[in-house]
Amino acid sequence: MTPSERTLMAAARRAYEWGRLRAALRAAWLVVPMVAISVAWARHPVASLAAGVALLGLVVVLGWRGGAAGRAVGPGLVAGLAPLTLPLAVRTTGHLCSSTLCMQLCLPACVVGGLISGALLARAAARLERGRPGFMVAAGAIAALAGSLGCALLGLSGVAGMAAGLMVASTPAWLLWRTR
Amino acid sequence: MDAAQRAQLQDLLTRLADGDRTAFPALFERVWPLLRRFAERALPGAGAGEAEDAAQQALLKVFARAATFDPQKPALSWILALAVWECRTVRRRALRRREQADAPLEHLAAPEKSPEQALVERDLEAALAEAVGGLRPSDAETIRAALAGCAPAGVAAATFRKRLERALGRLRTAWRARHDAE
Repeated sequence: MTPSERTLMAAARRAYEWGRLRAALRAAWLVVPMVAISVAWARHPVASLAAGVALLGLVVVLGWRGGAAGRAVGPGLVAGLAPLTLPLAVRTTGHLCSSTLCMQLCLPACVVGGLISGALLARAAARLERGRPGFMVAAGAIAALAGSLGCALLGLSGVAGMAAGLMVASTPAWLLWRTR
Repeated sequence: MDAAQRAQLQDLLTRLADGDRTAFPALFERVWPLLRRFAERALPGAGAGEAEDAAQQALLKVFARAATFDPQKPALSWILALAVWECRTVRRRALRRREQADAPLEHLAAPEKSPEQALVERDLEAALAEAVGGLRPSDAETIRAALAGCAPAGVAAATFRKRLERALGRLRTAWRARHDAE
């Protein structure tokens, strides 16, 4: 390889990395409305914003890195929509999630959202031929962060309920693949 | 490129689109000579520098867009489509450069007119001015603006084109009526 070809190769590599970053940033735009909705409805906007920034960062980094983790971005976000929207939907039906009474409805909403999310992830991972562990970890982290944007309405208990639901639904599938 | 090489190219680009950086050197080694050969063939009249420039631009574009490559599509067609676009761009740029460079030379190289030729041209210009003068003022103004190379202010380009078409039609009729010739 000539020196000019080596320079060209380095330029091509830079172009490739920038291209990946641009594609990842385009996908990350989906996170912005999710964070905006969460911040607008949140009891603790700072916590929601922090979760949103973490989610945005994770989506960009995984999208740029690619591989099984990169493929997990889309399914993770889709799976995270259930625990994000369910508590908000419960709240819009007239229940105030900050009151003790509402806890009875909102906490189950977060748990059910987490269960749906875990089931969706397990289903998406089952379709993969390889890279399931990386996919599950990355998609699980994205779904948990996206879900916490909605379940943060309840504080830590909501987030914990959602995480428990997610684990309960996805762990059996995980264990099943490990034993195969 | 045979079927095996195509399959290899498809596999490498698919892996790179998925984020597998280990496919990068091998893909570079296959794509760069391919693009260079393609650019040399696509730009036969151009200098070696222009073909090389087009190939380099196409190569950078291929890698910049590799992340968005759809593995369901054929890799070779995808790469060559980007190369065709770059070759076209380089060709257009070269043509524009040549036109700009030729314009002052044409002016300098214009041969001196003979007295007879100058007389004929003057007569023609006078006849044209007479014919234009016989037109409606708006038509004459439109033709003068077109000769000057600019549309009057506040008139849309499409409107101006229509007006010019009509004015030229009337000028043609007037010319035919006066001189019985096109």
